[in-house]
Amino acid sequence: MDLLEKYEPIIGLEVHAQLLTESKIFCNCRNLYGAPPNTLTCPICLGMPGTLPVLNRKAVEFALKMGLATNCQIASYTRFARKNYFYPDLPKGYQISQYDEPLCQHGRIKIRVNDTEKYIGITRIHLEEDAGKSIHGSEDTLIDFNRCGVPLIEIVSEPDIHSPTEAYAYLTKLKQILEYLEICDCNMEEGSLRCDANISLRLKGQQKFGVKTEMKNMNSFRGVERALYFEIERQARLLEQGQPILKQTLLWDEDKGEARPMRTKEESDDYRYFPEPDLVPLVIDSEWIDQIRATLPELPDAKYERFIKQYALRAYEVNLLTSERALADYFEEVNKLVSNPIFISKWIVSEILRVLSQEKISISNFKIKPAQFAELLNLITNETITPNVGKEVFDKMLTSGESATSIVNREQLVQVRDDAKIEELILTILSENPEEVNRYKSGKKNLFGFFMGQVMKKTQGKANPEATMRLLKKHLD
Amino acid sequence: MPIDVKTVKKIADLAKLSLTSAELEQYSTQLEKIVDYVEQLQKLDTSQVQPLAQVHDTTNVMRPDEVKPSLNPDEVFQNAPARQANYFVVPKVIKGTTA
Repeated sequence: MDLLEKYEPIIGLEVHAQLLTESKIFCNCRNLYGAPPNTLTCPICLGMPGTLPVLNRKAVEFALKMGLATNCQIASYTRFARKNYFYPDLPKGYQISQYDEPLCQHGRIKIRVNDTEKYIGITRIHLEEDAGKSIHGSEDTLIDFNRCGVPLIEIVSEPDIHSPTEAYAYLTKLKQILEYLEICDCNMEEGSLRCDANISLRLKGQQKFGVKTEMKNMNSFRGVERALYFEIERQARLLEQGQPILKQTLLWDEDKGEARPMRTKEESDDYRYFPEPDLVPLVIDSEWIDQIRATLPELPDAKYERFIKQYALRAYEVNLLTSERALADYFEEVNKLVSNPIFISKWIVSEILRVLSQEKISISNFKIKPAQFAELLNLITNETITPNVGKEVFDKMLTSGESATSIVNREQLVQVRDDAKIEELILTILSENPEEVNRYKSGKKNLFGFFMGQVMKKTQGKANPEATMRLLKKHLD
Repeated sequence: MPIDVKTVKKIADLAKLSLTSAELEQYSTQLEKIVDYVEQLQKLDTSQVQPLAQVHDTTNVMRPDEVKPSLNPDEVFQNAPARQANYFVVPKVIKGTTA
């Protein structure tokens, strides 16, 4: 679209991530998705008068992990604040959040778009409590407070994002880091990861920002990308027509592929923040930070660089292999037993990832464990079976759960490497197909594949490919 | 400092209160007196005083991440004006609006 040649989108994202603590942030109720309504509540998360919150140490430590992993400065002194508003899913009438003294600030993460690396700034990461859930009926509204008090971190980006594609890459990277840290399960459908976007346009080369709108209610990364494209085009069209952009909040409708404005508020939000008197400030010393830093796993960027160097794999494969920590671990487990990184990576990318996406499961739920997979690959590398037979055995392992060796033995899949046997077979095939032989000899060289195929057919794929090729050439050329 | 009716209206909206025009007038006079009193306090020189948000001089009060039993449903709904199955029932709210 040529309007995008003219205008530059400025996008900032606000991401809320639920932390995987056992208990809620300010009370001892279990932090769990999907329990029967209101069974995980107590006087504190129900906002009963006279109750007092007590901060969950694990929630602070998880937030610190994210701060360190995104290169943030950690505040030495930080405080909670009350954000006041009335809504039925917030029984206290205020949300305990952070305001002018957040836990983490001034971070950045690296994204890759079309082989170009770019940093996106993180303005801040702060801790807060989640609100309850409303179910809107036709007559009334039902409230479930199980989610009330679930620990959240809010991650606010700088307006460094200039396209929906970059927004997608940024979200993917955040999710990857959260998953590596094992502090959030990042399930957008269950709402454990949520994203709002601020969007404005300006003429290219202009310094001043345009009027921004806020987009809410996107339930997938692709949804965010689509909603941003929609809003950028909408704003560009308005600007072209000389119409003003209204400062408003829009709700994305994924089914219709469009956004509609929420009722425009006459007054802008006025949350009347003030320091939370029920919680004492947090002082974070370097000793505590060092302790947390020591628990950080190898992070995605570091793992990516190491895989490139250590295993001499291509960027494309390393991207896939390190997309999930468990997948990278799987690769390295297999490599301990096979030590042929390029070969393993090829098999993981073409076979395992295919199965994972077909069955919509993650590597941790994948039936074939690293040792079993390694056994299969070793049967191929030591030429017990051919690669083609290997793929068959792989499929059989998936359905039966048997080991590669027992499948190979039972079904007699050991490859034929005996030159005499293969040669005998080739001579039979050539005599059975005199016409093809003539055409080949008169220049139709691509018939070579036909002969290879015949040999494989007669041996159920078990003939050693190199030997077959060599012997076929001997008799044909 | 004069507190006009518009300001009172805004405060009332934020507090989800609907006031009559007589009440708006009445509260604007009363609020003005309160704000005037605070203005007196503002005259004190506090440049040498640290802002105080907590009366305790403590920091870092935290608890370990442990689960304890939640309330049983009868206790949960003891004070609820309306209950449907295990949900609290409130008047219909339209998603995304806070008014």
